[in-house]
Amino acid sequence: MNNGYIKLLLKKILVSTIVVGIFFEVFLRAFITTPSNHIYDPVIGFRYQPHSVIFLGTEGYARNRLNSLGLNDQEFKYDPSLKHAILLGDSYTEARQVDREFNFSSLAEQSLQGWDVINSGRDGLHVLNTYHVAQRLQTGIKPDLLVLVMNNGDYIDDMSDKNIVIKSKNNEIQDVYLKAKDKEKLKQYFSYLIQNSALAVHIIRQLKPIIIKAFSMVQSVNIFNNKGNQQTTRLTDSVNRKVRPNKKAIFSAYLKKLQKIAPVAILYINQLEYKTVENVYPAEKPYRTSLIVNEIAKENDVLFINTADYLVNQYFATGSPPFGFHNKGLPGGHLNKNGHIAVSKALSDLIKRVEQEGVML
Amino acid sequence: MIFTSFTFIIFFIILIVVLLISQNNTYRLYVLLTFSYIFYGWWNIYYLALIFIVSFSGWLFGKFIYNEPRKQIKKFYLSANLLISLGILSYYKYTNFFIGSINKLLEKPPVVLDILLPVGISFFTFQTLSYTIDIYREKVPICRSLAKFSLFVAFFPQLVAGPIVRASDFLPQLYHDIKFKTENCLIGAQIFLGGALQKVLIADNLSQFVDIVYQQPQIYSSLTLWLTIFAYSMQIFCDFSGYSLMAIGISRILGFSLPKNFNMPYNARSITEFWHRWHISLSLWLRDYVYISMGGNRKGVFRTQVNMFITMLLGGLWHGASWNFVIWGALHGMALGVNRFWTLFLSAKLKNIIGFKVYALCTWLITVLFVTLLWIPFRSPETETSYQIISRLFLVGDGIDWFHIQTIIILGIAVVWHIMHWANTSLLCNFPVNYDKLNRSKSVLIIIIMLYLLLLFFPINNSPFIYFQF
Repeated sequence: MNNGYIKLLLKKILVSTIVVGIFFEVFLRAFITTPSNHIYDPVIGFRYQPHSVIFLGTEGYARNRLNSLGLNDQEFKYDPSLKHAILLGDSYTEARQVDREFNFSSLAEQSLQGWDVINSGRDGLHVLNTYHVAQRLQTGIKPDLLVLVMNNGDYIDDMSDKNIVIKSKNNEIQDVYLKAKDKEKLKQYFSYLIQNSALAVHIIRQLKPIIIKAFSMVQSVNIFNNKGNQQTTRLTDSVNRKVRPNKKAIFSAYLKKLQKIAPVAILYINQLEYKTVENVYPAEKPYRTSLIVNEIAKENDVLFINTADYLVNQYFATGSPPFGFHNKGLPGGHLNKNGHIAVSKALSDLIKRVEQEGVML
Repeated sequence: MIFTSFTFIIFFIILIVVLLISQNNTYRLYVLLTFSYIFYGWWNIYYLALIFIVSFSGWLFGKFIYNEPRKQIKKFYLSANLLISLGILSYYKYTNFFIGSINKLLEKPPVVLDILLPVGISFFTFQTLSYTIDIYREKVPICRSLAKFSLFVAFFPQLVAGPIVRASDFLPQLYHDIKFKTENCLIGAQIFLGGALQKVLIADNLSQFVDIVYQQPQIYSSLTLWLTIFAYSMQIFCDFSGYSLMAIGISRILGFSLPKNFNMPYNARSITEFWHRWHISLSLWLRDYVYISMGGNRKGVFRTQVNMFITMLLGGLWHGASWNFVIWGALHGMALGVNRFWTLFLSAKLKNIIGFKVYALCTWLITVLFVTLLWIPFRSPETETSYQIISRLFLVGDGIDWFHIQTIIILGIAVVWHIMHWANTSLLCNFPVNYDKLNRSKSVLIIIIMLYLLLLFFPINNSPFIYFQF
């Protein structure tokens, strides 16, 4: 092969890669995803860029523009005549799968008189990071109520996270918080690329398992090469293991911490199980978890509501499942419009109960 | 180690480098054999002994049969080899099925022995048997080299899921030099990518829908179930055809030629034609070594029907040890019988009455529908699941409607692809999956598009090849 042929071949490869790349950039923006709107945050991992658009065409097909606080909510303006409830949670709360006016936060706000319900949900937010979100919004919003939106994984998985740091004194937990995870740092390295290219976002999402594996390998090598680091890690872990309280104690301590900002209520989203078309009931494991969460809530004077009955009733009333989308999975996954209607009813009832039972006082 | 994995890419690169370093053809042969064993041992190192036993017994009995002048003794050697090979296959594949069925019949609690099915056992057993039977029938010359014979049995591209290669096709290739040619590498790479596209883009994406519905078919609506069975029909075709293409592509890069295993089976207009286009290497194997051995069509109409039925029943059982496969094979056997009867006595008359085009359309529709419906027992984990699906297919207005958009798009593309094949358009030359008619002038652009498609749309939880379990 002569040089001329190789040059021509490389030219062909380069031009084809760019042309096809541009085509897929447009295609992805139209049908699959926008460029990333994540900003690296050393405390909670990442937050959303204000006024950016969130869109994920692989589950539902909604485009929502975030407000100036980076929340999937309308622009916030403090109104002293209204009471303010902040919804704290993960992707279930953020609800990027449906148009904003159809998510349970907006629907509950419409049905409640005198309440401004603020949706502060963020995809993949760890329960223990909701404190930081609430704390950051505290000054501007002056919340009268914090509604912690939870599901089975938020208790079972999040409360047993190895990155939880527990500070205790005389066998009593003084503080619990989450150590920032290393993998979020990755976003810093790719920030320019992922904030400007949907193609890059999608490729990274596809290759994420491999990237994370490679990153952890590099981390392990670094730790191995640096004995001091290795020792510190082991020491911290062993101390944690020795004094580590159970999930109940951690969650209870966390609720107390949240209550320092504002009164707290829990909205528990229970998945459903389908035995037959007619035999639909709350999923068993999440339901058992809900009983534990309810018990802890009671001990801490926190009102609790499980959405299970609302979701089951909605299914039988409409004949359509409350979770799932045609382009992702049915009847599992995130809440669809039908599910948001059901959960909004539960949320309205929860806030009404809060008013009636005077928890806010 | 599957072809679409990162591990395989590394494995293949190392193999190429080692082959390039090895100047001598004998070394290259041993390198290929060693890498084939590494490939197989990656799943379970202990089963390497198994493949070696099967290869060795095939080679040894081949030698005995070839050297033996007396017909009776030849027959004895062949029977001994059949007994060993089929005995091993039966033990690993059918023991639990046998015990389970007897226990169910006697209403005893189920007992499952801890027997792990070796990957690709059905493929390499059939391949070895074809050699000894052909030696017995004096159709192939003897292979005196154990290394060459072992490579024929264990050649890694087609070792675990076919195509089933005949000794007469493959062994002569081992007597030529193993060489890399630019032409072979380019065509091989395109065929491989075409197969990967079928597997990853079509089959794996369809499985994301099919697998969920098959877990709980009782909750979905009739329309969703129809979509599912058509999706599975396309999934199993692209999964297996994709694997075959990848195997053919890899072999081509290494300088070997493997037979075509699929030829657009859903364009068939009869069940007989379907079996000429689907898993061609297995169909031919069953025809040559089972059907013809039983007498084929030489013993009257009734015996022909019986022979076809038994052949397909065994074909069903070859796929797996389960009553679902037995039912699937039996129904295909019956359909072949009906088709034969139809072709002999009714087809010509009906063509005259309704016209050729209408006749062709009707027969195509019936064939596709029949094959698709028969995939239900094939895919179902239990007979109960098949029953649930079939009973709900015609139940209107009940159950959850799930019209998975990606599945609908993929099926749409598949329909266009089949129509293009049927119409034999020149556009097809641009699709590397149609590997007979490659268009070299656009190859760079096509390869770049394919790589983008693979990178952007491979499902994160990709599923293993369906035919690995057989």
